[in-house]
Amino acid sequence: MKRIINFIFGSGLQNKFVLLFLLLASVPILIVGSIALYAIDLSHRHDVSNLELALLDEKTRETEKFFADTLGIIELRVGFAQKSEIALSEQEFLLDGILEENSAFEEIRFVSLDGLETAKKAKYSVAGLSDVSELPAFRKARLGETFIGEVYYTLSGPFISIASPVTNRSGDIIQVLIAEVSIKELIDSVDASQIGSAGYLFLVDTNGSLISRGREGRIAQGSDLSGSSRIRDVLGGVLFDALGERDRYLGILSGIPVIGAGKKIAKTGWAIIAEWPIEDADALLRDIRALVLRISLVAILAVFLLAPLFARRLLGPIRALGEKAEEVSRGRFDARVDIKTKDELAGLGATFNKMSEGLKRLQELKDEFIFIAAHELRSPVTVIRGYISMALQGDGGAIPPAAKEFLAEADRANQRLVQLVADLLEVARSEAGRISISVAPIDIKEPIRASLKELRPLADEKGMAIAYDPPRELPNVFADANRMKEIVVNLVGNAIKYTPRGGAIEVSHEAQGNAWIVTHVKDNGFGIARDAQAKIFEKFYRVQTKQTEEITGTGLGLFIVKQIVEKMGGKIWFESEEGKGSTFSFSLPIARA
Amino acid sequence: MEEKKRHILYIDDDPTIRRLFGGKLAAAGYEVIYASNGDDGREMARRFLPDMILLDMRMPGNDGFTIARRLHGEKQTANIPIVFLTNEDWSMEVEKAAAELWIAGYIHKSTDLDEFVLRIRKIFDELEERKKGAGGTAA
Repeated sequence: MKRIINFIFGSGLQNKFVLLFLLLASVPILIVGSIALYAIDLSHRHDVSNLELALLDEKTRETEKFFADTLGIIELRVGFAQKSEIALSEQEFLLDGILEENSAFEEIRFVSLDGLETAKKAKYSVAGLSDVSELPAFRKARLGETFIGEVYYTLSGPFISIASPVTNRSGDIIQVLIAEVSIKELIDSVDASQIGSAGYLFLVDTNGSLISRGREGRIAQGSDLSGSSRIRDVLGGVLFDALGERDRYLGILSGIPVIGAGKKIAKTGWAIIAEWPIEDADALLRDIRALVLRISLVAILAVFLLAPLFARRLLGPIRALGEKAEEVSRGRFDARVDIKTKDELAGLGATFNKMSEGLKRLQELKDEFIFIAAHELRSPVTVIRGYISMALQGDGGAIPPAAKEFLAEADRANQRLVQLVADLLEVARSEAGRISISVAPIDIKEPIRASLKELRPLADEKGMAIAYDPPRELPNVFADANRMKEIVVNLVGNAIKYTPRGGAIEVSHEAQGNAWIVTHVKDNGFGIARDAQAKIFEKFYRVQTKQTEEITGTGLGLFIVKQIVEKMGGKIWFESEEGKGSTFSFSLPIARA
Repeated sequence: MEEKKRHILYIDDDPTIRRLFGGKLAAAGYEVIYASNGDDGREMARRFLPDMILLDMRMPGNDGFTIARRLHGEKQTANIPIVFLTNEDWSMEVEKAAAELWIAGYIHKSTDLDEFVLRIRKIFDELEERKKGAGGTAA
């Protein structure tokens, strides 16, 4: 996990890149995904609504047509104008014709205006004629209106009474026709309707009784559903289009969440209701939603994994450049970057390489220049030195004392020049990596004693004591004897230079574990100011104080000493307090027997 | 003791340097002949067969190494001891050359003049010693 996090998030710039990529990629995905989901949802709701309403309309038309057909058959109008009943034989003939014309008719009868059945025909059996003056069917038809009664059930299925007045040519009501019609076919047709794989339709009559049982079939025909406010609303004429939030409810028949639509059938006053279980209706939507969600997630995940790769691709060259620039800043001018991105970064890399190449050339030129200049200086300096010494020795004849003094002064100045030239050459060699050192296991007491002997006159001149009391048994170290002398002459020479008259210098050794021998050169001189301490090993750096302004030097000694010590595998450091003195120490590896 | 004057051929391109060291050697009793470049030097070495050749390293044209190698390669001059008198510091290059060639000595030009004469004398003495030793074993 940690590795993954490290992979995705790294440095500051990488984090920025990754976040930017994520933002650039995820925001459109999320926006498009949300819009897509919203649009799909909206269109789906409309689809569901349209589907349910279309089916409701179709079944409504079917129902209305059924009643238009059946009522149309019994709306009789006779050809004569007098206000008398149709002849009985004629009545029987007409009834037979009607029964034959439409198979939905089960029974049909003519009723006189005073409520007595005059003729009666049925599909199967006929009862005797009776008084129907109290029937609502008769009453309504007697008043000149067509009548559609309530559903009732017999063994052969659901029935309904319809009635219509019989009129003469001048429009007078002369009789009434009452028929019993089977609505089984109509109800079967509604029952057979299906939306999706689980949606169903059902009919409720004006009282709220279930007419059809729907495909559900869980609730018996004739059950009272008037307790449902929805049914009451539909019967009251409200149209439910399956679009609103209230159209998602627990199904009246099924008891599970459904999307429902409902309308009133104007002709009969019934309610026709469609209910489609949400689970089924939204199945496709859910699939699409899951798909969109999955694609979005995969896309975001892919971005998460790809972003770091892209970031790395971008950052790799930048990091490489940074590292190499760091190398160059440390003076390693042969640092080269290898960027193959074929873009501005590659160009930058090439420029960088050119730059460090140029720096290297410059460095080489400078080294070469110092080398040649210093070298060329050597001959004249040597000649000056030789002739002055010959003159001082009187090789060219006696010299007046004053002139001798001048010559001595010139000789001292020349000596400084000799030293400067030697130091410059050493520095140039060291920077070009040509400093020659051959280390061997040696006893460093020898070169140290030799150096101290060389420095004795200088110390005596300032009345200083140099203490060196090495242990008899000092392990051999890896060092170059000549270079060792150079180090000691430099360090002790500095100690003499930077310590006032009568000071004391001490050279001592200390074993560090059994790996290192540390040599300390301690003085009680001026010490080094804190701000100068960091620069003390730099080239041409010289401490500038009142006390040191008369002291001559090239500012190269410690730099060279540091190069030599490090080349021999050791380290050099110092401790110093202004006014109290300094201790320079360097370590050299112990040579094992 | 009265011995015959030793001849030293000093090859250096810088006349003031030649005069300085040559003059000091002459003052010390040596017979010094000069050449300002390698070709002249080799010619004079062949003709005069000096007891020692003092050779500068850094010179225009052929440098000291090349001249030393050639002198050593030629039959007449092969056995003349060569001493480098140079401003070059003792480098790996010099060390290698000293091992490869027959270099009798190496003196830095910054050496004190009296010290320089002493070193030359010392090298002559060593060569004498060696010659005697070799003669002894041969006899």
